[in-house]
Amino acid sequence: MNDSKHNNPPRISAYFLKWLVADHFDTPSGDFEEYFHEISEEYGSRRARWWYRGQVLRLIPDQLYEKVFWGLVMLRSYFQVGARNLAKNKVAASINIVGLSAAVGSAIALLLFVVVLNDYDQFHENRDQLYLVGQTFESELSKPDVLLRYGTSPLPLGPILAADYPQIKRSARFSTTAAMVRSDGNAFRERVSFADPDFFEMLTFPISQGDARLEDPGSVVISSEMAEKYFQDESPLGQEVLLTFENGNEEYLIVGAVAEEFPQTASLSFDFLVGSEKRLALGLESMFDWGASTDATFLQIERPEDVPLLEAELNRYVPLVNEAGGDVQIQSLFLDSISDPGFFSGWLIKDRAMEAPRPVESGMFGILALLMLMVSCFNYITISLGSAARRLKEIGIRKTTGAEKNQLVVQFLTENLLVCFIAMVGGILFAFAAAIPFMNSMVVLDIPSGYLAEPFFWQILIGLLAFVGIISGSYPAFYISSFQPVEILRGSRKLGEKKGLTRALTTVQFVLTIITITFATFAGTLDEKLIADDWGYDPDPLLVLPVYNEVHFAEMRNEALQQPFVSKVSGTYHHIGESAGGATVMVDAVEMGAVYFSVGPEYLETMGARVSEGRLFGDGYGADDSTSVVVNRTFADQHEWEFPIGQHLTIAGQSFAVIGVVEDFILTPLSGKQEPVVLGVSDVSNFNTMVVRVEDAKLEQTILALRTFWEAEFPEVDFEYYSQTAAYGAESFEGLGMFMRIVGVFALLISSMGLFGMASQKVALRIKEVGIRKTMGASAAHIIFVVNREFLVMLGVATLIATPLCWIAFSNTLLQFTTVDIPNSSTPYIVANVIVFLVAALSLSLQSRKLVRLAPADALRID
Amino acid sequence: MKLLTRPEEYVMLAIWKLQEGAYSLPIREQVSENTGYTWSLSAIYTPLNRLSKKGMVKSMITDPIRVRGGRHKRVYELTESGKKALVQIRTVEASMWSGVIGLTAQGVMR
Repeated sequence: MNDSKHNNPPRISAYFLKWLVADHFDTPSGDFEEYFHEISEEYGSRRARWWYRGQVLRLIPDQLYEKVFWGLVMLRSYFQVGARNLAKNKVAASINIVGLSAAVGSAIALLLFVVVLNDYDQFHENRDQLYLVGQTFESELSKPDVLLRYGTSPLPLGPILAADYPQIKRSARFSTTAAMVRSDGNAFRERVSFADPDFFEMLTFPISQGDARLEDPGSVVISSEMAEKYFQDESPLGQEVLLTFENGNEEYLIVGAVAEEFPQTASLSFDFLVGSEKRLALGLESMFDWGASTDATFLQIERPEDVPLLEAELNRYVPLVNEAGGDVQIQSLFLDSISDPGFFSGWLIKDRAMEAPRPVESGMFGILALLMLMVSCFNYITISLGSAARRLKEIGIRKTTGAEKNQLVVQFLTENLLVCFIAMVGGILFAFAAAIPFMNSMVVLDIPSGYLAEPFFWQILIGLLAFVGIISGSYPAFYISSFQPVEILRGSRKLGEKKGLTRALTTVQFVLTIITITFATFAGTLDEKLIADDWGYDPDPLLVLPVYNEVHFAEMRNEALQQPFVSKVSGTYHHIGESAGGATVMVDAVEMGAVYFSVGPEYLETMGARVSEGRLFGDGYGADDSTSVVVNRTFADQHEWEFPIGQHLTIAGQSFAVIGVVEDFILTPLSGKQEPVVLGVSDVSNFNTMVVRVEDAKLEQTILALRTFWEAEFPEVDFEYYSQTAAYGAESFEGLGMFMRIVGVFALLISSMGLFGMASQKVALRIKEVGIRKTMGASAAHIIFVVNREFLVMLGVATLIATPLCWIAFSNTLLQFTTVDIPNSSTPYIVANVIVFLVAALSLSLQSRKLVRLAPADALRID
Repeated sequence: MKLLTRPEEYVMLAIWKLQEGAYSLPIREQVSENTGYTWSLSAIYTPLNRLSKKGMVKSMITDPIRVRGGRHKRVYELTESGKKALVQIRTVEASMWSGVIGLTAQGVMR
């Protein structure tokens, strides 16, 4: 028992005792130790140690009660002091709360947006086991080594794979085409999809009525939307519908089942779903034609470890596909997971049946949300540091009357959490009362309200609260609470003494502000950047009307041509911006892919396409030009035709003569112009769209006339129309662009509030100095210079840091992930820097004015 | 006026008896000796804290003492209201016990 360690109380118990009785630690510990030594001398240290432990154990219930009791009392006091402080510093508090609320609200909206963007088709219960089969082609264009990945797959592959490999539990193919659907006098052109019987076993599309039996060739499954459209109040089950496919084949089908409404995140869905075998009605010769393809082949693989193996095995089928004489030779086949399509690679798969994550949009919104939060946190830090200057005396007195450092830290953190909590509530209100309805109204994207009930949403919120509260609160809390009371009370301690640090903080704030605004400006002007000035045709004013059959078209065409302000009318099957086909075009035994438009004879003229060489299609329907095509400039250039007119090309075994070349036009608002395009004539029976060229400014009048006529003639079908510019021009992005601009304005507002708050505090600290300068005869100009010099230097440094950072970020990351060539123009940088400078100048000059008008006596008077 | 609990009463009596230097350890010893069984330290702290809150006792802190690991001790004495409470409890006890026959220190006599 001479071991010195054993002559001391047991260590763990001693620590525990210390924790237990922290508030009045000394007395009990002293008692314990004194008695411990007594026992130790009398009975030996072993017994003393056990006694000690036992006594500590017996202390627990009472002391724990005390601890909780006083803890609650202290907590109440923390909140009380916090609330009083908020009430006292109303300006700082409201800047903080409003700024944080706006930032949190915007961040919630933006993050939900990102969540939705990445949540497509994740509602399928089997998603972890589901894979899409894809195929790769060699790229004919620009980059020869790059393999293009496609989401389509050879038609027979699914069932054969399922038969050959037991690891594959199920397989289902899915394809969509268009057909006229008639029932009870209703006639519309609809999406008609084909799927294998296992489709409903694999994908989660619950059936609300009836029984989905895709193996029954006479039955069709319809969506709830279609049930409503065709049958309204009647029961859809057992109703007969007539499908007329584009080749003229007709099928009478009985509605066998109605699917429940699809989730908003379903990018793959159907309107009329029939068994795959029905594709034979479309002119397909055999379901085992390796040359044919399907939009999607789903495989259900139960064990993830089988996936790499199967993927390797897939390539055994490549020769089969290529031998069948498919138009283009495929290079390989691959598996594409539904639950994990690859954040950075999924969007590269063309024609993927399901929407892949969109890294650019996600990244942009995510970064913006983070930036706004960061800016408001930094505002908060600088403002809290500033307002703490007024509380130095309070801190000093609290310390001398026995407050411990960690109590002060808790005090300040509690205040921060209080502010953050209020801001969080404000932010949620803002997000759900304003931001999200606004986003939804802009038709940017529907955020399902169901997310509110999801635990992850609340996890995000709590995460945000902790993030903002702790990030923004901990520095001021630890910094302020570590002051020595003597220094504070003697007056030798002034806040802001660490000049370097506050300067760094301010500079960081400026940098973040500039980055945020650059970013928002960049995103807000994205719509303008994306849309080419010249579309290659004349989109304005052009009316587009869907027509559902020949009668519609013929009568509407007549009526339209009678309108005084209509100069040209045409029907078409494909329509620029809305639809286009693909074709493999053979010229001189060389195969190449091209975009194919099947259009009405007068279409190009009506659209205002510009003829470069040759002529457009004649007025006569069909006959003359049934073997003619018009190509675009890119197509002609790709084939290095010196004289394109009269050249021959072959599509699907049929030979066509080139009669004209048109200048390149944009295919969709977001695509570039440089795609090879071939345009052929479509039969009038295939027309689904009518385009009407209207004289400027008479759009409304013409629409009214057409609507009146339509409603009298075809009351069973709703009149629909759109204007080409509204649908595909900047206006179609107005929602997104507007949203980004508003977010930008918010970011600006948050940052300028921060700048304003900071400027007012900095100026307040220098009032005495300015008073002295004034009595010594300094001029107003000199004072403004002296006070603002520091800010200007910091602003300059911030510009030098932020601008290159943004430039690098944009050109190396974001712009890499778009298919469109977006110029990294200097506008956003200039805009952001100018705006930040102006806002800083404004808030500084407001404060400077105060200084210039200050009477020195007021500043120097000792209060 | 609310009556004191037994532990409170004993602790106060011990403080009164000890007069000078009444702190937790001797109080505990005193109470243990008089009651005949060992009281834990916790059982002394609780009534002491409660009495402090009620204003029946007041305490003073001594200088740090080496044998206590450099810690002070808290020495208690009775306040005027504490003394009054003791007197009152004695009166109440006496009147409660008056007229009780047969229960003596020597045992039950009936």
